Amino acid sequence: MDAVSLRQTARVIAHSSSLSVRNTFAAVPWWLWLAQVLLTSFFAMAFFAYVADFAQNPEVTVAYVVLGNAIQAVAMVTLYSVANLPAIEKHVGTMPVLISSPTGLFTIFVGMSLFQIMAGFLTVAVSMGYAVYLFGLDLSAMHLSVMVVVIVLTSFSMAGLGMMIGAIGTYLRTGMIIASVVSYIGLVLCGVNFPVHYLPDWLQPISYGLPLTYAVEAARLTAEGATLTEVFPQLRMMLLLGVGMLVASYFMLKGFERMVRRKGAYEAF
Amino acid sequence: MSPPEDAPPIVVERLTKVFPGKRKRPDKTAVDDISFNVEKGEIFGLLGPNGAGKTTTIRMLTTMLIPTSGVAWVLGKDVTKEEVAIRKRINLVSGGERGLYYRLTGRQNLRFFSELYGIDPKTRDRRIEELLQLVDLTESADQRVEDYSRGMKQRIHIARSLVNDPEVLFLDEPTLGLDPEIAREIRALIRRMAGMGTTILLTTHYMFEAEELCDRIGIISEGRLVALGNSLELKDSVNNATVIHVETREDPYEAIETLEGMDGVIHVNSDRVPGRFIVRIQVDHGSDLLTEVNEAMRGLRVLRIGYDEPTLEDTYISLVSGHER
Amino acid sequence: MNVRASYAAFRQQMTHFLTDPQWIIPSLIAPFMFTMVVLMIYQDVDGPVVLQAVLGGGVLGMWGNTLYSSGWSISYDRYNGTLEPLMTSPTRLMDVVAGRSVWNTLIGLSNAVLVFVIAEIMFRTGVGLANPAEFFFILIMTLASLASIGLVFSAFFVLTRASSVLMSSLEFPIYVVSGAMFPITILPDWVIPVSYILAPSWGVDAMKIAALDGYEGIGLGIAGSLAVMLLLTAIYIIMARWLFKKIERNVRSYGTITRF
Repeated sequence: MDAVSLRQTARVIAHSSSLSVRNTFAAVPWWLWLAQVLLTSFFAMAFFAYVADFAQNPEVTVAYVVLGNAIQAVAMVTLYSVANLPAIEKHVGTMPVLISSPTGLFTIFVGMSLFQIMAGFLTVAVSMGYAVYLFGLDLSAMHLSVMVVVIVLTSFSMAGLGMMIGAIGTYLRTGMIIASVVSYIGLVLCGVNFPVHYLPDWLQPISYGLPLTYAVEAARLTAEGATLTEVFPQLRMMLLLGVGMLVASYFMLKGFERMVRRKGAYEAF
Repeated sequence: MSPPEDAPPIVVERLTKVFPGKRKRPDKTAVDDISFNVEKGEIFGLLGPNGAGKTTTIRMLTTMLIPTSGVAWVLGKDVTKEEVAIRKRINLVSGGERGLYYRLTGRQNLRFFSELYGIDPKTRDRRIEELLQLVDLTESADQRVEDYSRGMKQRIHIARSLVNDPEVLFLDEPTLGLDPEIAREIRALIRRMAGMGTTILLTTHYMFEAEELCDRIGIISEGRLVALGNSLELKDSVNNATVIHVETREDPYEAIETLEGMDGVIHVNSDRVPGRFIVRIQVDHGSDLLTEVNEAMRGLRVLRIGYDEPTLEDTYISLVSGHER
Repeated sequence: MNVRASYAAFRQQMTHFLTDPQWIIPSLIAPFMFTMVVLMIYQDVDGPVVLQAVLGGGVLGMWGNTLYSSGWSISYDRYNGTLEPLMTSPTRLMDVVAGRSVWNTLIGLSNAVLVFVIAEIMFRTGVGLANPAEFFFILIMTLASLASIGLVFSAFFVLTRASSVLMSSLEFPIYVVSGAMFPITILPDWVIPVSYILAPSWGVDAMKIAALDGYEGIGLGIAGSLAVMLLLTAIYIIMARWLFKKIERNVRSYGTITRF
């Protein structure tokens, strides 16, 4: 990629990310958006915290559940927003324009995801705050820098998954259905609220194919004071899965883009 | 105050609608003191540019909006207070493809809306069959509306608006965005309905459509009714205007600029057709400007020049642009 | 009430649901997955906890479905351009929404049954109801009260532009205070009154009394809880009427529904 096209790409990314910011706040005032980010993660956490509190299961403590949910919150914000991008475009009716622009869908979607990923970081910071100050999660042994790395990689790998779902969404009626199903599967399979070994044996391999499982594992280790080297295996898996999914989504988008152009599916939703 | 028993189906008196401005923006007067009547079985057209107040007028008459001042009676009932009584006996078609349940079939849509009007089941089933025949959709009645073509959607819209056998039918730009052939079908349908005694009020901004369909036309501009009558009367009402028709080979843009500034010229519009440019100059009656026009066209190859009868479009443009000044 | 129009709206909603399966997510899949998570956490705990979770799963499903489908009820018409023909018809908007709301609640019920069956197969919960007849009677009353909340929601959501945000923001708070998965008595004291103003909480409590031997709950007994629920339901219906009047007034005065 030469310098000119690199600058062009950067401009498209900057422009489309500011566009998605404006899109978000055109429909919803900023305070309501913030309230949603702050409250949704709180109540989701509270729900499972009370379940854990009521169950009195020694392995699944309130602290166990709230940490899992904090990570799940950032993972889901990223997944949904990235996966939803093509659907929003279709809804707004700009899809034909985007496809006919020389930049390609991939660059535009990367730009549009930036803001959402930032929102994801806000969510996780807030969720961790709830977990520590309201639900008694003990993070005194944690190295903050390690947790930051874990969270960035979590977001990255979930964005990869979201891109893949979004790519399918450009072709199918809506990627949101798949995104929701995947997010609920994540809730059950990835050790968010209870250890993976509770699951039937035949389900566990699926758990280890999903980046969220490693994210939650790494976060739990980090909370107990693990160093970067100690969580390296999990981080490596997230990175691998994230890159793999991004590459896959790139080719899927290219392929579907061609298919959309051939069949004109961007109007048929 | 209420109209006499034998009053026309639509009576509008000094109707005004002001929308309060949002967020410190000034109030917007969408409809400004308009009055007119529509007789039984008449096709009445409201003609005007976008944002002139056509849709707002229709919304007030269909009880969707409460007038800020003035009164309107539809079928002898007050649109502000007797909305339910009116709704049973009228119906509305809005242009465009929206306004149907896409996941339901054509027949299911008709059935659903029939139920909302409380049509008794026997009449309902018979009428649905008749309506499907009327709009020529009997064969695709059990297909989902999302699979319909534009023209089919528009036709099922019209069928939907007839489920309660309305005495007054409001059509808000019924041929908007339709290709000429489908638009022609829809117009034929409208005429057929008027022939059956339905009173029709329609809005459009297609001149020829108004001229072809409407018994009388009201021209509305910036919320005000600026002219009212049949198309001949309307043309006469701006009889002070004569039209000079010029056709040239070259682009006469300089000549147009000169003419626009000239005394006695009301309006100039030009059109480009393959091989020539057509300029229509509306001039004050009595001011014989043929020589001046000729002068302005000097240096251009003039293919034709002469006086012409004003068309409804000329009239419309002169009325609407006259109002803007 | 215009029963024929409501029934037509009920059928319309049914057709929509059956031809557009994406509603299955908020109404069936989500609560089902939550129930699975809760069952997993509860699996080593003895006693009627598991039955409580299964019952609770059904309640979550009914709630989630009421919230989402009713929230979209009028918004869908607005989006679809059908609000205009609906409003020009002589039928009151509330009667249309009421029919749809009843269908939505029934879908919630089907979710409850699904949770029941799956829990039975996967976890061998051995669910037996202490008083089946009473249980089903209360269930139907609870469904009715949920439908009335659906009416309030659909009117309320359509009055604000931010309805979709509100809708998804309300999901978990309602799950927390509904008393579905755990007794509301373990919540902080100041949260409990919120739970009490939600009519279905009382129905859930009554259902648990009928289903579980030795369950005491809020303490008003079946008859007392039912009475409170019916009273609250009546208040909801009055509120819904008022909100729908307001919608009609907004539309007719300003030409739009939302004014803020």
